[in-house]
Amino acid sequence: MSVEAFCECGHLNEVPDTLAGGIVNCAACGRATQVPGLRDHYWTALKLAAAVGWALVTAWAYTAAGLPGALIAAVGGALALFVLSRML
Amino acid sequence: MSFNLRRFMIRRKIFTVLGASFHVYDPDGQVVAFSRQKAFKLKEDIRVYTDETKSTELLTVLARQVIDFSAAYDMVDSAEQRKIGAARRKGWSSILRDSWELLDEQDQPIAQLREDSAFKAFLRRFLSNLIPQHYHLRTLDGHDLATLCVRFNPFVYKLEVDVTGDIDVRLVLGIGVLLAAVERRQG
Ligand SMILES: [Zn+2]
Repeated sequence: MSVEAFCECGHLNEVPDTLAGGIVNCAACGRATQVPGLRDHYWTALKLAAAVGWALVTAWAYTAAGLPGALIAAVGGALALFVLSRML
Repeated sequence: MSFNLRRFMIRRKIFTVLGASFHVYDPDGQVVAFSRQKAFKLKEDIRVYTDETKSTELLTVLARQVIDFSAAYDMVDSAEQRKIGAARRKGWSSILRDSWELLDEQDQPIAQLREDSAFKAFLRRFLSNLIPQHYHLRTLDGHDLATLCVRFNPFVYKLEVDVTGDIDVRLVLGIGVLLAAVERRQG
């Protein structure tokens, strides 16, 4: 199996999937080029799900505990999202 | 600017709150490189700079996958914007004895790095780090390229590197930084 890595110069590099998520030197210009990861879309889905969860929890906290509850949920959730985005 | 020292020492403070930092010293004790490991990162992304100002980047060491048993790390010369090679940890054999492969820019193995003796490696697994680690970097047909020795100290991790053979020293710096960053965590 192979993965496609687009270089800034416009060249499309087809590389073996063992290089997925890593770096390859572009065959046309030699520049180090990022190879997309095989699991990238899972991580994007996870981040999206976390953002939706954050919104839902904040809304629920607002109905259950009013504005202070919503504020705590919003700040706590934002912090968790920040850490998650740094991790992935 | 490229890293070209054949003898250097990587020093890492063990107790840091958020992300570890490394200093690389030449034989005269001058800082020749600095690196800070990012906190909370699941996918290792290590940048090595010429000094603590982080104004000039020397080397990037980037993990291919977030969670990877036989983890591979690509190394890029930041000035040249070119991948110079990669290091791959051999997952199964590293359980008993740390074992890595150095790959060239085409991803072909060019050298292997192993802990000095299987017996000492076995003892280290149970006696923590009381027995200092020694690694040998050799060509695939067994010729010595470099030695990497961990000096035991409960507070500071020191890895002394001596390149003796014909190998790109930037790759040796990269694998040294990886050992200091990754092996400490997994050890
Ligand atoms: Zn290109």
